[in-house]
Amino acid sequence: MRSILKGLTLAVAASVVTLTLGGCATTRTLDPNQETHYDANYDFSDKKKIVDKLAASLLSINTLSPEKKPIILIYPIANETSEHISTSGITDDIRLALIRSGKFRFINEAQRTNIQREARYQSKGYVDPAQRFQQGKQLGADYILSGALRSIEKKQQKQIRLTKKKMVYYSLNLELTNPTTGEIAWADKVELAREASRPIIGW
Amino acid sequence: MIEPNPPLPGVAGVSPTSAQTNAGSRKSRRLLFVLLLLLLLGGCASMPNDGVRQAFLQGQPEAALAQLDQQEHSTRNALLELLERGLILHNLGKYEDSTKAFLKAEKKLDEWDYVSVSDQAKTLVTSDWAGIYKGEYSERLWIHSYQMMNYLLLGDPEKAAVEARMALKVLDGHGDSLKKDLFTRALIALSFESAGKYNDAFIEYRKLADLLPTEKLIARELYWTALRSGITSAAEKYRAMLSTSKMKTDPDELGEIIIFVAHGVLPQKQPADLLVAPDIRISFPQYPLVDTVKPRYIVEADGRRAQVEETTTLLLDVAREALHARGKQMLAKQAARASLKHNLAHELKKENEAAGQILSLLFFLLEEADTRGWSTLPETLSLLRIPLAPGTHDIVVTAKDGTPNGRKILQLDGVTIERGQRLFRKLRID
Repeated sequence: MRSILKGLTLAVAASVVTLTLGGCATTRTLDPNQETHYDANYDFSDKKKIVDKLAASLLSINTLSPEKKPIILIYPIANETSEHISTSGITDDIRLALIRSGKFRFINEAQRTNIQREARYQSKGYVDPAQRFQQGKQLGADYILSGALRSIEKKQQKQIRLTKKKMVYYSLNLELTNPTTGEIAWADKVELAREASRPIIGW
Repeated sequence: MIEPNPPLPGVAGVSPTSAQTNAGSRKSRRLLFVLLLLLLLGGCASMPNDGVRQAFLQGQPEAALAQLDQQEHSTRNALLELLERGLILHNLGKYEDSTKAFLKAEKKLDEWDYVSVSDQAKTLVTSDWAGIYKGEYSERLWIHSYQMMNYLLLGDPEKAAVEARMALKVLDGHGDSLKKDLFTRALIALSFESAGKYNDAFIEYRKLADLLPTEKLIARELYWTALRSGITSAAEKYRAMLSTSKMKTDPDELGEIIIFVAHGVLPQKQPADLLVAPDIRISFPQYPLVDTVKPRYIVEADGRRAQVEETTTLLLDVAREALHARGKQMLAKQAARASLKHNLAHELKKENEAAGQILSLLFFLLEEADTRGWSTLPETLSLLRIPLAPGTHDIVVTAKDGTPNGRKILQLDGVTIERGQRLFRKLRID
């Protein structure tokens, strides 16, 4: 009887302490260059690793006639994982790295609808004809950059254990296609594999 | 050391000293206090979204949403609130907002993917109502079903394919209890197909074909996805089936209207009681034994009967099997709870008969089956695929669901379909 009473009293006391401590929220600044993972899922450290590796690989190509500064059109990277991952973050950062290098030029495909809308507006007579932008002067792409992000996930088999492990493998394949010939002028990939475990029992 | 019992009226024996009696009484009171505190912490057994369900069933989804906004938020029922919200928003055609609610629900389920000691302790002393509702396996699957529908209706097949992969994870873990959900299987395949993942779609259509009376029913999809995947031998096999089935038109030349139809409302779980001793009651949830009407849909295009491929799931069948699959787990917990409650009351009775009796009665009354569940789900979900030649069409869909001569549920006038185009629509009928 005494032990039951003691146990219950302890449980209630522990609940109160946990609730009190759980209420203390903290915030800290992270260094985006420092690799940080809370679980096995895709995160910003993965994005940075992918962008750094593929941007460096693209910058090292020496078969694309650099004197001409190739014009590239980026297509969205297909998300073939089982997570809702915004792959536009990857393409935006790769584009930024390449623009900063001064070796490539880019077509802003995302702004095409807005450009059309602006062209329609200007043609209606609201804008000074001398200041209207000329149509039919847009650049044509020398290459199309496209790719796919894929993942394979394996969970530990059900058995008696205190933690459950999950292994996730991500691969991002990127390729540069010459639209005139259909030839793949360059291709590379980044692979990431991670195992994470989490306790089966918690408070 | 066992404390001496207080003297019972009319019972002869050695009377304990006054100090011993006081000490025992104090301990009994402390025990009662601690237990009552736990019971209070546990909350009460009331359906969390009853008003929301009523408003939704009365055709007032906006009022149902308003009730969800006004009601007190609790962690225990947070998942249910998100599920009801997601479905109501889907029904209102607010697909973007619906996806947000369901994404939050998916996140919560991921966060709660562990055994909580505090939750187990609460539910062990009180009832399962006191714990966090983590959803039946069937409900976890249907989150992804609704997400797939939302993303397809929003014209984002890539995200629908992401949800399809999540749904496959649920099916991989609980496939046996969820195998009757043909609708979700068909939706997974359709999501892959719409995202251009033809090989994934072909694999899922193959799995679906194994669950159908004959694979001829989806020969068109099997042929099309095999062809696109470069599996020529399979494509030839299903092409041959097309020439003998009613689907004679070449899939390459067609457009398609796809309609998701939700019909009726899923009955809610009910408590079933079992008296294992005069003072011990075991209560468990079960679905009522009711007949589900499986509706049939007739489609007319331009005044003529159109070909339609229909895949329907009776949600009650799937929900019942998913609940049954949890049966052993529920039984083990019920046994542990009954034993703990019996021992606690028994120990208290030794010291104070009256207090022990009160506790025993309290435990008996509090033993209530956890009948919480996603209350706005329909009774059936159907996927209608209507292949049409490119051009402009007038479409009429009639439901044969027990009503005399059926009833017109959808009329689309002047719909223009292009070659290879898919138009998605959704319907909810009572």
